[in-house]
Amino acid sequence: MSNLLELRGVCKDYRDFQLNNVSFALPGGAIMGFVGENGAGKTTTLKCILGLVRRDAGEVEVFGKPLNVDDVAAKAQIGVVFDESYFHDNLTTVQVDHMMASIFRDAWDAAYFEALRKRFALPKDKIIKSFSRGMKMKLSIAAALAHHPKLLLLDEATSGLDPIVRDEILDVFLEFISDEQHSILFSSHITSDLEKIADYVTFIHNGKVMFSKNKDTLIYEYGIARCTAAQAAKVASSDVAVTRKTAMGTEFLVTDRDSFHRRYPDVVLDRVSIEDIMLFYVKGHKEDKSCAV
Amino acid sequence: MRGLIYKDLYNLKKYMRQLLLIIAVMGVLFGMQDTGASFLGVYTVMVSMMVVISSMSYDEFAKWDKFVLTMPVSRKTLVGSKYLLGLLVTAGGSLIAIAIYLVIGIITRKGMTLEDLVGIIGCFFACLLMLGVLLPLLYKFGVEKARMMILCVALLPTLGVILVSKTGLLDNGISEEFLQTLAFVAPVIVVVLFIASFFLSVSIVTKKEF
Repeated sequence: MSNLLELRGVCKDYRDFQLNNVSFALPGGAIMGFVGENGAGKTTTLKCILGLVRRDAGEVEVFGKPLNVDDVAAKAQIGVVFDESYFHDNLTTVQVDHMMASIFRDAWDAAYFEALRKRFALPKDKIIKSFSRGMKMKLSIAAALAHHPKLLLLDEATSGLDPIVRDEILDVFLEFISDEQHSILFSSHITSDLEKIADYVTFIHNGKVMFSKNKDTLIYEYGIARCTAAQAAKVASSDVAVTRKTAMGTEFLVTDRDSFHRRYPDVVLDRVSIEDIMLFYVKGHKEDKSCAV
Repeated sequence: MRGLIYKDLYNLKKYMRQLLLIIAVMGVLFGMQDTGASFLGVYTVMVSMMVVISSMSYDEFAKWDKFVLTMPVSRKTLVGSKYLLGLLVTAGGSLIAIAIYLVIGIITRKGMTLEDLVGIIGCFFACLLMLGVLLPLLYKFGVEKARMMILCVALLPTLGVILVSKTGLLDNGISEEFLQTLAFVAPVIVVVLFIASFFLSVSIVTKKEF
């Protein structure tokens, strides 16, 4: 299957922040969770993909071609939702429909937009200013889907929403992805959402991609080894990915739970969530030697 | 392009309605005075030009440019829509100003003079010139930072004219013929500058990061 989106060695240098050699690939029919703490470089990466900022190095391919910000044909096949609604406060849903229909021309499916509007229970003639945050996000999502894009780029689209609204929105994304030609890049720091729907997880920290992997690999193969000081001293550094010291002892993130268990059968070994992995990378140390006390 | 114009007109509908109301009230207050009508005409055209600046301010507040560039809209179209909006609202304002003259002319039974009409047309081109100077500045520095510049663009020519008339520098220097030629050449120059300004804005936006 070909990749709908591919980044190779993308760099962007702001004075106080660098996006460093970001690479990952998103195949068709998949949802990639793009995780990282605030300020890790998620939005900058999305801006690099869309050409809203100039990248200093690297390549971005969308639908197998480099994307130029003035390439209207390619952009007609992308839907973007930012972390808040960027529609003007004074517009109504009907006016948004009218405007978007003029921008997207034939690609705009007014009937589908209307169906989404009803499904999300968005009022027709009220101005957006009076909408709640959840309603604004639903409007942005409906607007991003109504031209039937192939690639959906979501930048913190579910952050700040209550669980009910998030669940509704995730359902819409799952429907979207049922078409094998469609893909979603879903930037978020709400890892539970990604655990529900993502196929791949790419984790970015300090502008660097720490890993980009199949979600099932992470959940079924990665593990946390909880060691006492004495146990930790015996663990070889080559067997662990990240080390983290806690009040209770030393914790290791291991990439292959089964083989670790065979080597150190008496160490307590737990499954990990994406959140655990994230915390390990952000707060732990990626040390070369084992953490002997 | 059409979608972007719709957006501005929808968004500013309430604001423009308020402006019309203000103009109507001022029409009643000033219209009956001798020089009131010409003030009102100039005011109407100027205010309509300010609508463009307000729309830029709204766009900036909503982070609209960043959003709309993710849609099938090129940077040239984005900039072009603002210049077209400027042309449309300023032309609309000029038509309203002419309507005001006609109404006042009928009520006071003085009619509308050719001088009034030329005044409005001159005002229309002056506004285009100001937009041509302002829009690249707004794109370069953003509406917030450009506020001072808007003031300068409006005030400097006025100061210049006052200065020239006070010093009497040109009292004998300008012939009637020169002024007549200027009246025909100036609009052409303004149109050329307006188009050049569009290309300058496009190149500013092309270099800009969102």
